[in-house]
Amino acid sequence: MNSAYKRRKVLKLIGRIIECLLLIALIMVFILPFYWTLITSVKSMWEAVENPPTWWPREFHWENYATVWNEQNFLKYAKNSIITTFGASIIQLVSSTMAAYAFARLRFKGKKTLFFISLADIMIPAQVIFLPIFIIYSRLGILNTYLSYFLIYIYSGSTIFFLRNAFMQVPEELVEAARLDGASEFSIIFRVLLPSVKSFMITQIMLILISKWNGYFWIQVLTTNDHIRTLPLLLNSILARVEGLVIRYDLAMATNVLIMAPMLLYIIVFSIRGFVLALQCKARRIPLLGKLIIIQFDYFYTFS
Amino acid sequence: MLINLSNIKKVYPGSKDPVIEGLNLAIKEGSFTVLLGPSGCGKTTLLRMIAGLESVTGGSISLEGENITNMEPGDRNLAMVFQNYAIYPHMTVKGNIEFGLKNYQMTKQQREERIKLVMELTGLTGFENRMPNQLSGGQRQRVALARAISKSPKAFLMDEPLSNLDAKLRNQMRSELIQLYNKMGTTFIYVTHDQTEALTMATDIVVMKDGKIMQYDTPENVYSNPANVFVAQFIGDPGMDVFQTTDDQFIGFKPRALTTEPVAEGVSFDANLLTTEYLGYDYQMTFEVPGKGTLVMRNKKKMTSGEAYRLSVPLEDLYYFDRDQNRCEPFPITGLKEVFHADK
Ligand SMILES: Nc1ncnc2c1ncn2[C@@H]1O[C@H](COP(=O)(O)OP(=O)(O)OP(=O)(O)O)[C@@H](O)[C@H]1O
Ligand SMILES: [Mg+2]
Repeated sequence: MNSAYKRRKVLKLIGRIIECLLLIALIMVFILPFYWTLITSVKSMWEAVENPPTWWPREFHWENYATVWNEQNFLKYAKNSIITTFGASIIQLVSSTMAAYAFARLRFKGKKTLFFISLADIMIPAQVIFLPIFIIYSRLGILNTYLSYFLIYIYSGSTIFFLRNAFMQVPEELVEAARLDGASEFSIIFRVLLPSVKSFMITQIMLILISKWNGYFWIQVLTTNDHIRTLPLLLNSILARVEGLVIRYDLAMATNVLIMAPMLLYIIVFSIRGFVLALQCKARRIPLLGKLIIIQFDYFYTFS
Repeated sequence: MLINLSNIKKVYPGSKDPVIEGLNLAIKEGSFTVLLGPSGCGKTTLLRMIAGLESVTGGSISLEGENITNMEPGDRNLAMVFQNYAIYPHMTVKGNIEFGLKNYQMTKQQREERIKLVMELTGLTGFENRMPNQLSGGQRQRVALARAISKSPKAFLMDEPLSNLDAKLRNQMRSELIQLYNKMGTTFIYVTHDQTEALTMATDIVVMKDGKIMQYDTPENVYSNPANVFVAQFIGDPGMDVFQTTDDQFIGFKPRALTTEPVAEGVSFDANLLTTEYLGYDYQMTFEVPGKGTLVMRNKKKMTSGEAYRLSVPLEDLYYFDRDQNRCEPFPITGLKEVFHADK
């Protein structure tokens, strides 16, 4: 009996070790692109394109960052990124919240049909509709304006869908109690419904902000000059530049790091605990990993 | 009269048949009116129409003489307590109460005073800053009550507010509700399908069936003077045994009125005892009357199953109902056709 107990303990330990190794391998898979980005950003122009690549920079060219920062347009692009990200996110959130409330809580004629139509947005890819939109906006003369970009996000089928589902989880009686308490529709949405689905909202807000910050497609479609162009487009123009027969991967990666900086900062500040747990192989939920995955997907989606 | 419902009709969207039709009801100011009836009879629907949470298909509702049929729920000055409490999960106890008061444009000081008062009244003092998930079921229900009271409404509407509590807590809250009612003297409109709750708390009971009012009376009358066969069988634990007579009228009697002693005047019949259940205070016997159906008897004496008895009911314990199942003057009993059960 004693030996059976011991064997069970050993088996458990082995299982634990395998689990840890797998987790470490997983982390490596996700960390590696970041590591590569980070070291390339401080390599020299020539070392950055060496094949096979070096795993540690021979010399540190911190001035790459200064070069990027002093690029004529970096601050302008950064400003545009901030304005478009927050503007579009706020518009998307507010309009979707109100639409989701109507679909989840109000009774009106044609609700089912309208909801189905709004879902069509999820199924039709942007690549299918960008051309008509471009033509319409061009006729309206609003290309190269923030307004054109905000208009794209005035309506989002997926956000409406997710928020509606979240609102439907909130018991009907809570809304009715508020109604009896004399609350207005706005008060019901913003002081009863939204706080009841707070954690869900935070996730949604994060996803929406990240997708706007990394957004590339629509800005590219809606601009013919760099008036409202954002950082991902700056990166693109750096990658398109060839100096002395090489693409400036060092500068591109430095730009990349700067683009990711706010997100990385957020992750580092809010996920140190999760990171420590992950390192101790104790993590039940690994927020850091989850967020890295999200960023990775967006990253590849944007540049592939 | 505080609330007057006249000729109320309700059809839910998407269904053809009305849930309630041609309903008239006047609720007395200061009464504790209980809406009682089997599941699905429309109690909740009726209460929600009074609250304004459900639209009225036809007819009108007035409150203190004012027509409120189409008034917003928040403007009616009625408070509702829900079965699942419906307190805001993201607000403290105090915040829950304050939310409504803020909407009614009270000053900070007025609010504080009001909150203090209702916290004392509901025994929640000291819990002001707790979140709802740090409270027990009974305490949550108290918060819901405190929130309702704080608005000093014209009436309290309650939809089975005690049904989520365990038996012991339910009894305690029941007596607290009665005390609260006595202290405040405000009108209570209370929905339940539990007749013990109805009989113990109500000053007036509205017995409903299929969206219609079967009897609107005091608890005593509903219990001892049922207006029809349905009420006779629905009220009481258990309800009356009812025979259909050979001329299609009905006679009924309480299970406790049945006796094995011979009676001078009354009805008698032979019956076989099927089962005996011990219920603490007395026994409940289920009999089969050959060819007529089964009925129950309550007695303090234990009786042996499988035996045949001759059962009797004294004349003075009989209730008479006409062919339409409504209470009527005594009539000569021609003969017993079968045991009758009003569909529930
Ligand atoms: N939203 C709705 N849509 C359609 N029919 C409904 C709706 N709500 C209730 N009903 C129907 O109306 C009838 C009365 O329902 P109601 O909830 O008023 O009954 P109740 O007396 O409160 O029953 P219970 O004791 O089970 O709570 C039922 O037949 C029910 O199926
Ligand atoms: Mg109900």
